[in-house]
Amino acid sequence: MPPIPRHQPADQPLLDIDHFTELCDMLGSDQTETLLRAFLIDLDTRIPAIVSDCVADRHDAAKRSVHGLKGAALSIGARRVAMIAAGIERAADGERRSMCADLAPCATETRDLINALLPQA
Amino acid sequence: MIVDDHPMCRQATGMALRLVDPDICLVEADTLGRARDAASGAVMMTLDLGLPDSRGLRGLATMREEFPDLPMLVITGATHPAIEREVAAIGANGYLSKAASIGEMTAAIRCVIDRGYWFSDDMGEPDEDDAFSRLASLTPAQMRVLEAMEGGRLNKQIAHDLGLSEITIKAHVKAILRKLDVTNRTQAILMLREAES
Repeated sequence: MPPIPRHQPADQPLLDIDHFTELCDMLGSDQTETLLRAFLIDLDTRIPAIVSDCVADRHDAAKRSVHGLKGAALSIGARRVAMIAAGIERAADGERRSMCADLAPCATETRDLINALLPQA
Repeated sequence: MIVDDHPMCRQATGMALRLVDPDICLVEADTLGRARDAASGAVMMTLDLGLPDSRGLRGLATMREEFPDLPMLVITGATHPAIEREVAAIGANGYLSKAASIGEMTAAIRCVIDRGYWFSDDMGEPDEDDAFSRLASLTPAQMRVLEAMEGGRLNKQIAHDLGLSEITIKAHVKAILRKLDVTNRTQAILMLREAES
């Protein structure tokens, strides 16, 4: 089977600005903020769980969590997190642990960017 | 009705549905089982393909069989022309990536509620060499064996789980490898994961 060409995560924006702008335009700032805050909670809760599941070779749990993270990231346009999550999801069990190393730093950058966009409490 | 195991994805889809119809009554389900219990009377369903109790296209096929007239829009992170073709062949009314913009999502929802169809203009032609087409060529029994392999089960364990002999499982594995055109179990498992992710 020939390898399927893949984009590299670094090619993807942290946040797709067109996607984000359209969310704001159509949903309004309150609902967009609700989604972004929900995503931040997801980053905070899922990523430690994903890393811990990968380290402990709990592959089914890791795949379920990372699949959820991918969907949430796609929904708000967090493209780079989504791409890394997709890579971890389809990786061979033995490779998943090393791929997690890219997830936490990307999540931190994405979180910082979203926090900068959100009104301060 | 919104069927997705991720609360934020349900929330985002719900917001899009309310843009289409502010008075719509939303019912949410996080598993296929709960969706089946609550789908009677729904005017439409958005369905994720990766639910805890249903992976891949089997859940869609089950729902379509039980609710043949219910407009269904698949909203998924697994976007591939071959999957989209399968989704259309099973009888869904539409297929949308979770990466779709909110504008596209509302347009798709509106179209499906009105009993239209929302698929890509260019789903491409089936390619027999395509991994998805090869997976689609597996029989239901072979697919069950492949899913058990993906879960890390050994032939003996799979035989016990499925109530079959180990020789039968070995024959299924051989057929699976041949149909998928791969040389070992790991490659077959990776192909399945590729299709499901």
